[in-house]
Amino acid sequence: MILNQVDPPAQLCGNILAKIENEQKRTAKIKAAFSGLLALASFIAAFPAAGYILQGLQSSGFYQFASLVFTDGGTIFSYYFKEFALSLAESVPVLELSIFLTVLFILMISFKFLIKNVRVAFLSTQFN
Amino acid sequence: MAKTDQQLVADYLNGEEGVLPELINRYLKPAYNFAYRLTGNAQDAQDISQETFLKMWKNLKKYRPEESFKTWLFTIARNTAFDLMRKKRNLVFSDISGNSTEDSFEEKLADEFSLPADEIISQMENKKMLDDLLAQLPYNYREVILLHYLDELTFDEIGKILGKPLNTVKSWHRRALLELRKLSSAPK
Repeated sequence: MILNQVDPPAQLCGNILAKIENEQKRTAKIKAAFSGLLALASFIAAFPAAGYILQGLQSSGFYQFASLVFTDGGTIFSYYFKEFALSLAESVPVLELSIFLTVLFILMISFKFLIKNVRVAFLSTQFN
Repeated sequence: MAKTDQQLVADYLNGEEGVLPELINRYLKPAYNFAYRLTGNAQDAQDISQETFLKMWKNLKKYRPEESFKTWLFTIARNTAFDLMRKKRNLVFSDISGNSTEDSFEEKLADEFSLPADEIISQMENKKMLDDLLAQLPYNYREVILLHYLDELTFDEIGKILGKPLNTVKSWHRRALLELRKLSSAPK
């Protein structure tokens, strides 16, 4: 090397790491806010989704089929198990169940990201 | 045995946040010196260095391991320096010399008689003189000299950083040395 190098200021590395950490926290706060809103929205949506699935279970006759297990369980499992299982499966309100499970999934994922980003934004100090 | 740059990047992306200071420290001095020699200003060099490593961190996921990390980082440093100097209006179009690779008489002469870079630069009376002369070079010539002699990058790597063909980089290097020789022998 022909050209000599000068030493950077002693605090430069610390400044760079502090800048990166500030940027990490800023990004984490934005993500936490977004995750929080999504978690809240999916929590609120879970109630009508649950109502929807209960309504679906009632109108499809699922409760009536399921109750047969308790009234004529012996007969059903001995002679009509296959037909019973198929009828029970057909009466499951698939659309309502899918919607409810999707809402539940979004709620869990957004809650997980909320916790993760709150930890980064407010609690962690990474570079000492 | 020290980890390679690619290993450090992979470790960081896998969640080992503690390797980031090591990666930064590995290139802080070269990046700072490049920015300092380019701008001639310590504060600007600090600003450029901070911005460079911040951009490096933001774009680590986009870094391709088959590419040289040093080349990738210096591309960011170079673009950051260019943007800062343009914003501060320290750089005007006329500061950047032409892109033509057409040989002038002087260059043809230089080809015939070699241009020993060590000799030219070592003839500078002192470090300050060298810094002053470098500051007088057109911006793009200065970049080539700094990247080659300060940061020990090959012309091929410099071409990738500057986004220029290899012949253009070699031509700028040759012209930079001619210019330095002319400036150093000019009456004071």
